[in-house]
Amino acid sequence: MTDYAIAGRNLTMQFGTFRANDDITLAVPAGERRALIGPNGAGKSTLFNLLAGQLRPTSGTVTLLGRDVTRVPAHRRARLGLARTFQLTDLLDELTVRENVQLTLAAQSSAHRVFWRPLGSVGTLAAEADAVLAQWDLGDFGDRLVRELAYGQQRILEIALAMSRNPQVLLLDEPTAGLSPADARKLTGLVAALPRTITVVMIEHDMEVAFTLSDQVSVLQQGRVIAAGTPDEVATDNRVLEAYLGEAADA
Amino acid sequence: MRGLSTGRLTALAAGLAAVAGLVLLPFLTDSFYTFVATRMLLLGLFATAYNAVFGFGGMASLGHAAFYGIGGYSVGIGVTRWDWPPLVVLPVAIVLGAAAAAVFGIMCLRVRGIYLLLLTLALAQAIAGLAFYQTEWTGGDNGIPSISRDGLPSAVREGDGFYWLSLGVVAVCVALLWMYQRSPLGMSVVGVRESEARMSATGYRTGRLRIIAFTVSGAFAAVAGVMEVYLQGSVSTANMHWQISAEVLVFAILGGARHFLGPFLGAVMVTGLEVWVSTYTDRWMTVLGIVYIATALFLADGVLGRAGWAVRRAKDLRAGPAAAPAAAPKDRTELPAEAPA
Repeated sequence: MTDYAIAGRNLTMQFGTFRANDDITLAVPAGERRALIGPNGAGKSTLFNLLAGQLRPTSGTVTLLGRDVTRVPAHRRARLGLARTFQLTDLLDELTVRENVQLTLAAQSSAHRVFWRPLGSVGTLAAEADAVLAQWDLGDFGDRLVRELAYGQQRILEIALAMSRNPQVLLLDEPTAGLSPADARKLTGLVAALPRTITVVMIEHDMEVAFTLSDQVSVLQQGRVIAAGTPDEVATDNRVLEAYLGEAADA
Repeated sequence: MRGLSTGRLTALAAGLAAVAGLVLLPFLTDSFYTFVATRMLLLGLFATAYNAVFGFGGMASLGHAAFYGIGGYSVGIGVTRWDWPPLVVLPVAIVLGAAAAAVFGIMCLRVRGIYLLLLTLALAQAIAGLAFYQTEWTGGDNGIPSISRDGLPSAVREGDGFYWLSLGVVAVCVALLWMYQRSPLGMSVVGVRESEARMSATGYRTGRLRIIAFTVSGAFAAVAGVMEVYLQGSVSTANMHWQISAEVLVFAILGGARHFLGPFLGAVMVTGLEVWVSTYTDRWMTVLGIVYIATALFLADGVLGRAGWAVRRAKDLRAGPAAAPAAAPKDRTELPAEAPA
């Protein structure tokens, strides 16, 4: 059996009468780049929330690095090596960029328990945070409040924060959504350059980005996986074309 | 560099002047104003403690009178029954206040916004009810009168001495709160205010952080309650009245809940206003109501929030038209949306 970095098996998520995910199985081997595509409302973000622990599935299981984490809360999955970004940028807006990085790093060690010294003076947090900022070209913005950053920089900061924790599995929820073409290209380049030791699962609406970055593509529609395969296979799959172009073909 | 060091020197000088003024205050005024200043200090500490939950934790509590009152009854019961010295009263009050606040925090784990406000109010009313009905211990409606200060060292027992004692206690407590608030622990509570989902996805136990914020806040609120009862010499259910919770909320909003010293400033301003208005009219409650309404309408980000905005704008204007304009002060949505008018 292949070592799956992250896998959801027979995942079903029921919200009242609405079934957002319907018996989804998705297993991503270590090191793979997997794209999730599908029309709005297909259940992609719900699936992410099940994988990362923001939601508990109605039925089915989630395994992370070989461990059953179905009942493990989000903060403990994070400590096991899972990092995620959010579809709508969700940063600590009223804190500075540097504080965002420092708090993220502090969670990785006993530093987050310190209650008598300023955040920036604990251990090597300050130096480590500045190194992260420099690495992601955010050095000039360390003292700015996150809400003052341009949207593209906020998206980059999200990935910088996720990567600063040296995750083994990275979930990216629409990393290029809402970005200008130039920013989207920059971000695509950054994601493409991530080391292969990291398993990346990404939701992406931009087909070009999804197909460039991924080894495998899973297509969701109405809460089910309707197709999976390499980008080339998926691009020519009739069910996929129908799902995406159905309305246009009917018109 | 030069500008920076000049600015620092100015700040240092202003700080020293403020400290000197606070220490020398009893020599500058009469005993009435020294009493007023003592109250300002104690309410300022209460408001600063409250803000660990409200401004920094993003949780609008309407139950802090409980912790304040628990501090008060610790003095009343401890001193009148067992002749406890202050060095016993204070730790007991801190432990009881922190424990009660931790329970509040646990009960509030699953509620947000207006529901948290109502739940904290209900819990505090339950504790106030306990104080009202356990007449054997609390004196019920009459409370506990004539609590002796004899346990205090004679130098700090009365008037000016008690003012200096309060100043010392408040300074130590505010300094401890300041250290906590800037620490990784305090900052991660602010992180939970900003985004609970982000913090838990980063590996933080957000529920525990919320409980910690309540616990810290309750402990220091109890200290304020202890000192207030030593000052007044009596304690009753008035020390647990929900109106005290509402007042501390207004202190925080009026002064600026996003600033560490904002709530302290708010407490000083409202207390000062009360004294000043009382010399002209008996209708203090009417004036207080107008202050509440004006705060909600025009000062949602508080006096310090407004001042900070003005300073930033002045800086940008000096920097010339090329500089980015200062962000307008955030409107009411920036504060916890449940803050009542």
